[in-house]
Amino acid sequence: MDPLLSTVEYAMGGLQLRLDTVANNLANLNTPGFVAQKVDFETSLGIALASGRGAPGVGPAIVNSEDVPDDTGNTVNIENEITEMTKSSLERQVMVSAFNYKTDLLKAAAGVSR
Amino acid sequence: MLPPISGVSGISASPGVSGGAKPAGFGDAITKGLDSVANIEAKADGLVSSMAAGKNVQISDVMAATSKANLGMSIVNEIRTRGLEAYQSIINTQV
Amino acid sequence: MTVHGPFSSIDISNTGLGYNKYWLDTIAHNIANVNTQTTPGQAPFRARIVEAMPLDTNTSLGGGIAVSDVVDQADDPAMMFDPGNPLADGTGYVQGPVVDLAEQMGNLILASRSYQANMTVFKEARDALQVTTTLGRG
Repeated sequence: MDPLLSTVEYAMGGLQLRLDTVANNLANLNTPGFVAQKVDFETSLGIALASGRGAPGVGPAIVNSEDVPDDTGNTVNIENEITEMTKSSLERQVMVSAFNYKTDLLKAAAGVSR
Repeated sequence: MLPPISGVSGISASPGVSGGAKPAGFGDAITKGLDSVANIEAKADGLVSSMAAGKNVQISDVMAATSKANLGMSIVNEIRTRGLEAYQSIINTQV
Repeated sequence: MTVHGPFSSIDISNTGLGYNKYWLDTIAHNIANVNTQTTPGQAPFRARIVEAMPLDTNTSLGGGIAVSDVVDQADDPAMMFDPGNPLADGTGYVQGPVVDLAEQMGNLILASRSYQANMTVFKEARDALQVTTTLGRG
């Protein structure tokens, strides 16, 4: 597969996982002791790109976020989750557009009429 | 990298066509167009990858670059299509 | 996390949301204790004051706001003569809380309006970037 398509596909998977994680965090807004999680796919992707690969072999990492716990030990912060959701949603749209850009280009170069 | 569009190099006047000026510039125009698109494509790819990896890249820059690459490719394709049509109509002209 | 990226206006307004939310929570705590009395000699209830600092970076673009410190209000508590009060000391005095309700109410409106203002920025930024994702794609 074209390396950029691999990159975009990996990023879209990571962003979807991020959205799922936000949903889970919000569902546990009042669960005592619940530690909010976040997704990091950028680090592994950056390493892969730096060594000339389109996408990493490993999946995105799910780590604990560093938000401050309340007195029940719950660390979910609504504003931060909404922010993460908003950014991920926007970035996903850009990635979808990027995927289409590359497939359109490859099709045009191959002489396929659209 | 884009594979070259096949058949383009055939669009030049064959020696048998009398009085016809050799459209030597046409193949060049296509090649130059493809080079330009490849250039924009590389830049667009870089911006998309950077954004995916979480770098400081603006959405507008990514969208502009990808749009320009697609637009450039459409133009090159259009030139090629029109060129082929012109070539066909010349070839089929009743003399 | 750097706020300088494709979503800087969203991230920066989020720092405003975080700060004002924290401030609102603190004001709520202060107002809830507006009648908290103590026995003289013990530590009185002291209102918490939230201090802010701007988040600057090395570039000309700022990075929003953050809580720099939370300090106790330093005024002296009022003493009320109330010998029937179980908290009263030997002289019949009770210690009041160090909190100014009028000031807290004023801050409440300020914090609330600031929170909403940041929310407006958040939404406008999101909508603007939303449009940008359709650039060139008809």
